[in-house]
Amino acid sequence: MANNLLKQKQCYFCANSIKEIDYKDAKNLQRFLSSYAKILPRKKTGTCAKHQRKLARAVKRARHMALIPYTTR
Amino acid sequence: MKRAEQRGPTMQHYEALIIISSRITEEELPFVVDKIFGIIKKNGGTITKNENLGKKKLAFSIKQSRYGFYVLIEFNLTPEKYHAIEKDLGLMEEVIRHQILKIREKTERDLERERMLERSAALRLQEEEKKEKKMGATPVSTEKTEIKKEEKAAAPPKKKISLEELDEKLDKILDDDMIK
Repeated sequence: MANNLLKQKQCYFCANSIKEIDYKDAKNLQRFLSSYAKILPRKKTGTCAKHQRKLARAVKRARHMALIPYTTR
Repeated sequence: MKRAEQRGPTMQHYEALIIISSRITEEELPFVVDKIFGIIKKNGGTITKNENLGKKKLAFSIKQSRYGFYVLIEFNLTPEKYHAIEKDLGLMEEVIRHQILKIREKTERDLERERMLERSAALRLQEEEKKEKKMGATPVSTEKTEIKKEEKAAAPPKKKISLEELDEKLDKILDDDMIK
């Protein structure tokens, strides 16, 4: 999984031409989180700067609505 | 643009995601949703979309409840009334958490674009899965590999054509967006 992410060179959102990241889509956000539910750095996911900002916002919104955890025990 | 004119320049499009406590039974849920509608309508809002996302397990327990009903409501509202709705939702006992966000209203073109994207994504996934299966299945006997080769030759062209077509259509739509 981690290896797979490292290999990715292109931003996932650019490649799929996603303009706005939906915070309700928890499954999709999960792939940008570490096993401790922290947001993974751009280096690991290959996300571009623009989408990383949008992603961070979406993750925080999803956390507030209990769609993804703030942290795992 | 036409829509924006219809609802007046002062109206803003909002999206509210509301978690309703699982202490309320499934039968009582419509009444609670009606109550929320009442709050929005009271403040002069018009509801454009209402979707019940169903009962979900919360990532962490909120107010001692581990499950919640997720309700998604889209509505138009004058921005001055936003705080009133926010406050009323906060006071509702059945609502354990809510989030109201300003969003861009989806036009027909957006919806069309989304559908296309979904379809092409699904196709791509299928192809990847096929590839993985082929990679994973190491040749055990020569007969099997031969059969697979035949399959390979037969199957991909159809898929590729449809993918290319989809891509073309997608490009067109994207180009249109750029021009606009």
